Amino acid sequence: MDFGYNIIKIKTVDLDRIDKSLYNRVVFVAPDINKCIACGSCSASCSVSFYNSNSSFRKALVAIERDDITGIKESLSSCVLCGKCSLVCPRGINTRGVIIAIKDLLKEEAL
Amino acid sequence: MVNDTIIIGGGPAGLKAASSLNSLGHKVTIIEKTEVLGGQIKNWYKLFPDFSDSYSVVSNLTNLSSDISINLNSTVLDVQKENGHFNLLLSNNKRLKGKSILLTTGFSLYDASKKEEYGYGFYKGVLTNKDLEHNFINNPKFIDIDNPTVVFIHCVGSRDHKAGNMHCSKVCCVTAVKQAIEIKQFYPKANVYCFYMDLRMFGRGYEDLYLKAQSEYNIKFIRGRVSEISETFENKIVVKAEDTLSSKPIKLTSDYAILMSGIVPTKENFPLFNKLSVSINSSDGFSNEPSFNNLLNLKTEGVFTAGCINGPKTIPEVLTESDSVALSIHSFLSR
Amino acid sequence: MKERVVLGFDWFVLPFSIAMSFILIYIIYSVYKIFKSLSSNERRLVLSHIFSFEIFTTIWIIIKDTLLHVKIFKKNFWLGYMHSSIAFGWFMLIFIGHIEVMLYTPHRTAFIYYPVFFRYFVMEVEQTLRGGFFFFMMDLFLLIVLSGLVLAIVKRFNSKAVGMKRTTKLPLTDKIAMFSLWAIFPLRLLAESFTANISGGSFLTKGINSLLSGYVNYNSLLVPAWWGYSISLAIFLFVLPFSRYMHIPTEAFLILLRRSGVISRSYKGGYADAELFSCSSCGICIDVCPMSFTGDKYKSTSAYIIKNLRFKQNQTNLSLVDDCLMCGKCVEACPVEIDSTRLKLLYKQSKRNLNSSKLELPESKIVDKNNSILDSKKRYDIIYYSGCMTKLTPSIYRSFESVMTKAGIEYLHIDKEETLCCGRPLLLSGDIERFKDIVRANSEIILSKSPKTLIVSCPICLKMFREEYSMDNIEIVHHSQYMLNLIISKKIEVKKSSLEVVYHDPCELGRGLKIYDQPRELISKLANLNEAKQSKSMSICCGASLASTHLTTIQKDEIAYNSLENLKNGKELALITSCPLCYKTFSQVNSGPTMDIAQLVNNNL
Repeated sequence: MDFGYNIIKIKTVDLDRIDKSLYNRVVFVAPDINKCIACGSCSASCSVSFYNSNSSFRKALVAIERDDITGIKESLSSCVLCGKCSLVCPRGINTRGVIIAIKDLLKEEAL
Repeated sequence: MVNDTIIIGGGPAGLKAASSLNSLGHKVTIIEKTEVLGGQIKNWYKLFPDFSDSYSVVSNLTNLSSDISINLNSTVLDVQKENGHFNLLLSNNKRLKGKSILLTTGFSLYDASKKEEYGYGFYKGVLTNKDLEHNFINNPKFIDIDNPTVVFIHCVGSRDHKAGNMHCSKVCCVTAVKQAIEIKQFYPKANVYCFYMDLRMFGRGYEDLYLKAQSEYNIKFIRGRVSEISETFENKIVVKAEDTLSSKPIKLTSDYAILMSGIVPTKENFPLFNKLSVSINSSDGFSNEPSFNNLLNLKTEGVFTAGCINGPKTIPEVLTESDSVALSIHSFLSR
Repeated sequence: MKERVVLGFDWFVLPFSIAMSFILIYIIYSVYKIFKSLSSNERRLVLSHIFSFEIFTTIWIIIKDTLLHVKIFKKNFWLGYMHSSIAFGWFMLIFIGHIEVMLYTPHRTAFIYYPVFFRYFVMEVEQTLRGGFFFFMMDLFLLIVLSGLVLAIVKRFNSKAVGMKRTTKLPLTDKIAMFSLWAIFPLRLLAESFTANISGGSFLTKGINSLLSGYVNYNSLLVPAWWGYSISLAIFLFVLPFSRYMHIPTEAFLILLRRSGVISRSYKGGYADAELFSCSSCGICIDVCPMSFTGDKYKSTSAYIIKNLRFKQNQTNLSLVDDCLMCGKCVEACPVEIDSTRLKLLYKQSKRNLNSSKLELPESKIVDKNNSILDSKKRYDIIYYSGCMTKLTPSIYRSFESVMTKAGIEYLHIDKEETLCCGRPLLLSGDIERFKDIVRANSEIILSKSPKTLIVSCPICLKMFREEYSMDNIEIVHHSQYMLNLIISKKIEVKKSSLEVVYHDPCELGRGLKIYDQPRELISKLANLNEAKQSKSMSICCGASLASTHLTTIQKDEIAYNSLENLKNGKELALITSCPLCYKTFSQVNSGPTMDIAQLVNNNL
C-alpha cells in the first residue's frame, strides 16, 4: 500500500518489512551486540571520527538492525581497529572484535 | 473504645504499619474500601526484580494479629476532631474514635482510555499493564498464536503535559522490562519491543534485569515516542513511533500493545485530605511536600501519611516508610 | 667377537628395515621439497653458508640444541634431563653401534639393520678390554635412555613433577607414535638381555640375564623379543612423518636454514614448513602463554596452532589464531626458536588481505586550512606523537609535557587535538592494504614538519615508526629514553625518593624492541627498583593486546591479575609502566598506585 509513490524511496523504517537475515548472521558471530544501549561512548572516543563523522560503532549496530548495508559500510569503512571504543564501552562489549567479525562477514557474503 | 491509630487504606503500607504498631502495643483499626485486604499488588502476578510471587507477599502482609480490627467495604464519610480525638463516620454508619490517623490510601492507575490516540478500550489488542498482570494470573494463554508481536509503550500518562501529569511514575520502566520478560517466558517465540523515552533502572538488580532482557530474551528496546496506534483489517494493530537512533519515523504491525499506565494520585480522596489538613502538592497531586524540612521536622497534629499517597514507590520502599511512620506515630502517642 | 648367523639375516629385521628405508626416503624427499620451495635468493644463502666457516658454529649449535637440549635445562632441570637423556642417549647408541659394526664385522657395514640388531648376530668368543668398553658404553647409554623414559612417562601423568603446569593433549597418531617409542627401549633391553649369555654384554644386560635365567626360557623367548623390538621400531618409524616426532630429523635442517639467514615468508612452504615440522609439541609454550590461565583458551596456544597449521593448513580456524595476544613469550621460551608469532601473523594476512575497499581518509582534511598548527610552514626539530590510546590516559602526555616545559625544550605535540593511529592494530589483524593507507597519511603529516627527532610515549607506535614507516633520517625514541637523556645532559634535575616500585616490561618495548635497560636506568634514578619474579624477556603480557579479538573482558581481567601477581609478588609496590595500554589495564585492576614513567619523572623533578 504505497499509493504509487514509487519514485520516492520510502524513508520510513518499516519494522515489518525488514529482512532480519543479516542481523541474525551478525548475532550468531557476535552475540554481544544485543547488549548495546546506544549510549554513544564508542562514537565519542573514535580515533577517526574527527575525519569522518559517520564513523560510529553505534550507527553500525543500528544499521545492522535496520538492514541498512550502506549504513554499515559508511560507519565502519574508516575504522582503523585501534580499539578505543572497546576500552570505553559501559556494557563491556568487545566492540573491536564485533567490528572485525562484521567486516569478515561482509567480505564473505561479498556485500 | 478509643483506638490509638485508625489506618485508612488496607494495602501494603497500611498492613505493615498496623503490624508494627500492634507489636508496639497499640490498638489499631484498619478501614478498607474494597472487600479484601492487600491493596493493588494482590492483582499482580510477580514482583520485580526477582520475580517473587505476589500472592505470598500479600498473604504474609495480611497475616495480621487478631488484636487488629478490620473494617472492609467501608469508606470514610466524615471526620471531626474534638478534644484531641478524631471521630469518623463510616459508610456503613459505624462510628470510630481514634487518637491518630494514618492515611495509606495508595494510588490510582492512570486511565489509559484518556489517551485516545492509543485506542485503549476500542482496539482489542491494546491492554494496560494491569490488564496484562490480570491475564498472567487468570488466563496466561490469552494470546492464541505462539509467535505474537508484543509492543510495550512506556510513559503512558506520565511525564506528559497533555495527560496532566508531569511527574515520572518511577516503577513502570522496570515493570515493563519485567513484563516483557514474562511474555517471552510464556511465549518464547514472541517478538517483543519496548518503546521508551528513558529507561529508569534505578534499583538494585534492575540493570541486571535489563541486560538479561536484552541478551537472554532478545527483547528489542527502541528509543522513541509512540505517536499513535491504528488498526489493520485483520484486527492487528499498527504502532507508529519515531526511532530517535536513526532519526527516522518507524512503524510496526503488532498483535498486542501494552500501555504502561502511570501512578497518579487518588483524586476522589482529596476532600478527605482537605478535612484532615493533609497537604496536596500543586504540581504532582501527591501528598506531603518532599522537602527536607518535612522529613526532619514532622509537624503534625495526629495525621500521618505513608505509602504511595506520597508518590510512586516500590514495595520495599513502601514497607520501609510504613515502619518509620509507625515509629513516628508511636512517639506521638507516647507524648 | 664373531658372527653367529651365517647370512647375517633373520626375518625379524624386515619390519625395521622396511620402515627405515621408508623414513630415509621420506626425509630426503622432504628436505628436497623444502629446499625447492625456497626462493633462489634463499637457496644461495644456504649454500654459501654451508661452504663457509660459519658451518662449524652451526654444527656445534645443532649438537647443543638437538642432542643436549641446553635451552630446556634453563626451564627445569628434570625436564631438560628427560629430553636430553633420550635424545643424546639414543644418538650415542646409534653412533657407537655403527662403530662396533665397523670394528668387529666390517663386511656388514652396508647392512642398514646390522648396528641396530648387532647383539643378535654376534657371539662373544673372548673377553677383551675393547669389547668390554664398548659393551659398557652401550649398556650405559641404554640405561640413560631408560631413565629419561621413566621421566617421560611420569610427565604424561603428573606434569608438575617436571616443572610443567600442563602437558600437551595428543591426537591419535601422536599417541601411537609415543607408545611405540616408549616400547622400543624396554624391548631392546629385554632382547639384548635375553641374548647376553650368547653375545656378551655389560652390567645391565648381563645383570638382567643372570637374574632371570632361572625363570625365563631364553631359547623360546629370544627371537620373539627381537621381533618385538623390530616391530616397535617399525611402527614408530612409519608413524613418525605424521606425528610430532618429525622434529627429530627436521630440527637440524631448521637450524641450518636459520643460521643461513632464511625467515618465513608465508605460513606454509619453505622455512615455515621447516618450522612447522620442527615443533615437538613439548608444551613449554603452553605454560608461558598468558592466555592459558583463562578457561579453555589453551587451545589457542602456539603448540596447538602449529599443529593446526601443519595438518589443516588453510582450513585452520581463524578465530583461534585471532585469540593470540602476540606478546612473543612463546617465541622466547621455545627451545627450537620457532617464530610462531610471525607464522600466525602471516596466516592472518593470507586470510584477510583481500581486496578491501580503500580506507577513507579524507586527505584534504589533513591540511585543513583552519588548523594553524598543521598548516603553518613552521618546522619543528622535535615532534611528540602521543598516539591514539594516550587520549584515554591523558595523565601520560600531561606529565611528559610538563617535563619538557621544565627542561625548556621547544617541541610540537603533533596530535594534541586529533590523532589518527599508527596502524599497528590494522597490521595485526592482517589487513595490509589499509595499513599502507594509514602509513601514507601519517607519514604525510609528520614529515611535513621535517623533524629531526620523533618522541613517542607508546611502544606500539615506536615499533611501527621504526620498522614499518620509512623515516630513516629521523631519530625515533621512546619518551623514557628521551627523559633519561635529559637527565644525563643535565637539562632537568631529579631527586630520588624512597618509593618502592616495580617496572613492567611491555611486550612491544621489551620482546618487541629489546629495550629493557634504559627505562630501568631512568627509574633507578628516581626510586627503589625491585624486580618481578619473571621480568625482561620473560615478562607476562598485561592482556590488553590489540591483536586478540575474542577475549571477553572477564578473561582479559584474569590475564591482567595474573601478570600483576607476578609483578608485585605479594609486596606493596607501586607499579611503573611505559605503555598507555598497560597503564590503563593495570590501573583498572591494581589496588595500589600505578604510574607511567613520565609521571614518575614529573613527580620527582
